[in-house]
Amino acid sequence: MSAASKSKQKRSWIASSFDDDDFSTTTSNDTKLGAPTIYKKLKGISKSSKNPSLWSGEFVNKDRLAVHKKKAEEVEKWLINALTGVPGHRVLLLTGPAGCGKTACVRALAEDMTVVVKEWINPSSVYTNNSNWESRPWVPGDQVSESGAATLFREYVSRVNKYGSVTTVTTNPSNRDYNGQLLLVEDLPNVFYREPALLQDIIRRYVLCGRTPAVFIMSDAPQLEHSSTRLFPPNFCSAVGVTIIQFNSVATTLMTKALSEVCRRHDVPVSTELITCITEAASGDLRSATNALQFSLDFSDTTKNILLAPSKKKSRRKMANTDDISPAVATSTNAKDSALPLFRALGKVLYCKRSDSPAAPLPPHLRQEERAPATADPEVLLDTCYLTPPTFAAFLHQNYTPFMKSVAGASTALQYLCDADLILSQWADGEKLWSYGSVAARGVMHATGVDSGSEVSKISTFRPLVSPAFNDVTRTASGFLERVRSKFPTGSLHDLTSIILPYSSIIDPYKFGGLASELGRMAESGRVKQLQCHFSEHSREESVSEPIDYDDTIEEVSD
Amino acid sequence: MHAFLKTGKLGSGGKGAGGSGSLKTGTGSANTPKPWVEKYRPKKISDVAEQDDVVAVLSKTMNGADFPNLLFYGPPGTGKTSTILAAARELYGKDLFGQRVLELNASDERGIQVIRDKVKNFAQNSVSSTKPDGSPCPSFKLVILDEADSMTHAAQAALRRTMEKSSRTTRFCLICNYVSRIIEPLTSRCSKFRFRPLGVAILEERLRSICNTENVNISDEGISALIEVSEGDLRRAITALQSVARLQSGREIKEEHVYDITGAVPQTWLRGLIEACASGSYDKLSAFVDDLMAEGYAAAQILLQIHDCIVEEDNLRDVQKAAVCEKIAVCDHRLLEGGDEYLQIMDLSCCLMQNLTK
Amino acid sequence: MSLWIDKYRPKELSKLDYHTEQAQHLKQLVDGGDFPHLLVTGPSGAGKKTRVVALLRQLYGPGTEKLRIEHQSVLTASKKKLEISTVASNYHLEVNPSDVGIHDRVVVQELIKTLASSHQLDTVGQRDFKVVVIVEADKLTKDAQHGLRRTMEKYMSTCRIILCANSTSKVIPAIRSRCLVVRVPAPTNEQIVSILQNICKKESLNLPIQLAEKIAVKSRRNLRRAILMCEACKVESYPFSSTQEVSLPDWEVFLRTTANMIVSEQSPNRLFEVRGRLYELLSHCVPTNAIFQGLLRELIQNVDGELKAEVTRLAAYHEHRLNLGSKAIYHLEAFVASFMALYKKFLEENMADMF
Repeated sequence: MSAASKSKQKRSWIASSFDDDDFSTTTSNDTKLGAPTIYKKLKGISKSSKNPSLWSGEFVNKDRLAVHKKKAEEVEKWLINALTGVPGHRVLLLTGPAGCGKTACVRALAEDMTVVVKEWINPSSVYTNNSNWESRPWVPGDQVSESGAATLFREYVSRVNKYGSVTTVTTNPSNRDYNGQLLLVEDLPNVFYREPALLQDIIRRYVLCGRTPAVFIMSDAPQLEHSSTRLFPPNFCSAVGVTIIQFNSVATTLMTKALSEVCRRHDVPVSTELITCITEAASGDLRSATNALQFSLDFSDTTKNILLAPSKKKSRRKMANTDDISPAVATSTNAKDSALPLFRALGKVLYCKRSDSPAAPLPPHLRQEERAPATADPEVLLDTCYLTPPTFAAFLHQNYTPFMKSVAGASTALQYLCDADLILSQWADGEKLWSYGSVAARGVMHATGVDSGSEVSKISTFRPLVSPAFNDVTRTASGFLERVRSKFPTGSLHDLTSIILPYSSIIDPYKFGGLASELGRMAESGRVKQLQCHFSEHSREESVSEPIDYDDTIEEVSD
Repeated sequence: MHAFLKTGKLGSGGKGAGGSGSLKTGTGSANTPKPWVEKYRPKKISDVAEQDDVVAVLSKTMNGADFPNLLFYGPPGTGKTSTILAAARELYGKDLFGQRVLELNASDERGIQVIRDKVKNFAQNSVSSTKPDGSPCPSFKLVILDEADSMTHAAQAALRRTMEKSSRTTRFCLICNYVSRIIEPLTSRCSKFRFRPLGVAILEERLRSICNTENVNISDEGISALIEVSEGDLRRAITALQSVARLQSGREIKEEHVYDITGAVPQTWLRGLIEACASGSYDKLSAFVDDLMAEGYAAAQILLQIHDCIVEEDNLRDVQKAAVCEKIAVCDHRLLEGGDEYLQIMDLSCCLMQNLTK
Repeated sequence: MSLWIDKYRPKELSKLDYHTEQAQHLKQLVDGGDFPHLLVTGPSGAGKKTRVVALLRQLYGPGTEKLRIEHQSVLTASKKKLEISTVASNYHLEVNPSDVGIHDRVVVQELIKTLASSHQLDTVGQRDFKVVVIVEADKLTKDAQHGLRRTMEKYMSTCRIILCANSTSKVIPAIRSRCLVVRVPAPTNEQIVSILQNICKKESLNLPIQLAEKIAVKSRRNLRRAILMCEACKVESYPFSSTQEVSLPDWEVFLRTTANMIVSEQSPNRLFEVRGRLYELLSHCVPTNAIFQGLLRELIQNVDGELKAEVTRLAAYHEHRLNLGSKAIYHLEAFVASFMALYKKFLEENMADMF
């Protein structure tokens, strides 16, 4: 034990200059033997968070992977095939929500199979202009290069194939022989998000002539530009031979088990209530759950004070009195950006429950504007729903029509939405006016009361809420615009779309037919393609298992 | 200063300014046509039309008195730049003009850095009080800042310090259209001179003299159309005269040619619009506005001219005129912000129709 | 095989079919020696571009007809790369800067600078300036226009600029005063009819006069539209019959049915359906002011005298706000909703009157 602790101490004195040995220091050997002692020692020193590692790093071990067994086996099988040279196993794409164990799985399996993992890391600043880098002092991590990030990536990928690594010998403590190497790419240069064709080109070439298997890991964020389908469209993947394995978010049972295990391993008593709370708040993200657990149990006084500071959030306000760290605190700081608060906020605005107290009286010429006070506060709603005001207004716009009793109400609501649009579009002042974005919410709430006198509207039927179609439309429009411009490089766009194109497609369908719109056809049939997307709040399990994809379109062609 | 010498004043229409452009067929030496605005710019202070007080002060300076920092303001085309340039030429003579006068225009770089560097350096050196040929000349230099109202406030603030410090060796002359756009500290350091818009008589006289010199054949209505269109701005009148003369090349210039060149809407159309509104039929109005828009007149110009017609319209009571004028203002504002021309003109016409048929 | 609008475009000033007097003046302007900057304005389809091209030919000869499409890229101050396509010949350059949005100032200045600094090979009969044609000049930002003013002054000796715009309202006065304004009005119906007949004669087609007149009326004095309509009619059914249907652009038909939907029912559900249709139009890049104009014309036919003024007011109001905001759909829908509310009230009042 002394030798082990001595060697550990030695290692801790010499700061490693290569970052990727994080995981090697927390392999099973160390923690089983030394962790309680270290932990106890440090607990004695200070209660501040000076733990040598994050607990979330502990899942990088094949026995302790918290992902579903079957998924891990799938990845393992692929890796084995790839390393032994079975054709068709060159590039693997792992997708799934954040924190569901993709990277952990790959690293653990690589460790287990004694395969070196070569990881691509985006250079922190890439100078493409000669004159720049001379004036700036070099900071560790900087890369001075004359080419852009895409070129660097391509070169790295081709080098991985050809050369072994210099660093593996020194960081490999047991000097084991490695059975091969594996290229891991998690962090892609931004230029690929703008021009996916570049990346696809590199991958195509890699598939043809690369020897090292490559694993790309992409989180399925609900943002548009970074979705994995944009960079790796399904038909491209099947054409080129990229295997896709999709991870699901960690199920609650697995998560609870993993969290309790970690606590047991670190010898920290924890209530099951805390664990369930954290699991619920994390909604499938194991990493954030572990962090929440670690930090909720590891409080210094300062962090406690920060968390208990008075704020608008109701849960925190409740906590101000008690001294105990209850689950609510843990969840409020680490709750994921889930869709629930948005849904609730929308519901509060659209259904707009009003209290029974009488309306504040208004002069006779404004009598129809009288409303009983509403129970919800629009500004608070806007704060808690994690959305920017323009997006919130867009959601309201998409969904308000079933809640209006007549066009007069709809007209009022739209009037306020337009005002909100004008306020929020003032880009000259930056986003200073965004706090007035609640105009949209207030306007819609006010409009629900039009034509109904002062009675509370009793809408009991369930109405699904839909995410805005506006982004979709803009995307289609810009795609259309690009195609038009490729055919007609100069010329007024106004004339093109309104006059020239419609007729030229009649005159010469071969040449211009691709740009013909189906508007005419639709005009006759009288029906329109439905753009719809759904998410509903049935049970949390359901929403956890299907990733909430805001740009999912189910097109129902009505023919 | 180079900008001034090469291309002349702004608004010159670029008619061959800077001189190139004749066909190199070797037929003749390039008789480079100069813009008439430059050609007929007053060369002496006494030639400047109608600005008596300014002329008086400046003439006194010619006789040796000192003059203060100057601020010339007033509508465009009334002779501000010409006056100071003529004065400078008279003061310094041709040879010293280049050394002693620094002119900065709105098209030049006039940011705060330029003020600090260029103007300061120019202003700091002191000069002798005799010309090379021995005759006396003022011992100060002149900095002319044209279109000073488009300088940023920061640049203007930087200027005032320079003005103070170099008051021994330099005089500043600021020229602007709106004195409200010059910051207080600057206006308090200068003597303000207001340039009045030129009257009809003086405009006519100048135009006729130019026509005689250039052998332009123009009818009397043509001259009055020019004067009407220029609105007291002599530069606009002369450039319009030059354009229309070039386009007509020798033929007689009538008033419709003048209207065409300047983009003014002929009275017939405006009358027609008012009659269409008075008829009370939306369809007729819509058809008329379609025709009017097809003619290609700028909507802003239509609004401007119809405003004059409305004000003098007999069939409207004052209250109605006020309502229509308010609508004109709203539509003009919307046009400026990018509104569609057809819709705004229709909106105005409907309002007019409602008021005329009440 | 190119469209008739390209095939029968007159290439010389002497061959123009209408506004011949103006063409004469332009010819004299070219022959006169010095050539100023030009600002050509007029409604869409009136023949501005045709006249500019003919003018270039008058200036430089038939060499201007050899065109090549170039894709140039310009670097902005923030290191962003902008792609712009230009059409050029040895003597001139044509560009539409409205595609690059707010960076048009940089593009215009760069292009003119490069053009102005390249000198002509000195041959006899050459002019010593080149021409830059800027199409859709009224869509230039104010920034770009001020920059253009300076550029116009600086490179006056080697470069002339011809601006094409639909209306001079959006061109700043400084530029207007530097240019010679050439106003090209739209052709009259009779002129359109005669042009159509000429074209059909050259194509050896027989065009009945009633059909020609029908086309002229439906084209709303837009010659480009008229010629395209004629060609489409020929493709749809030849030999022509005088009672043939002249088809409107598909989006106009779509808009008409949308307007009918609005008039037939006024309820939030119907509003939602109309929104879907508006989205369709927007995704096909139909310009928003055309949508407003089209809707206005259709809806007006369904309302009574007093209301017409009110509906026009609503259209003007919402269209203006659309230009200030960023989400066009809100304002379009707001117009439709206000119309519905107005119309519904009008119907209810009429019903009440009847009893």
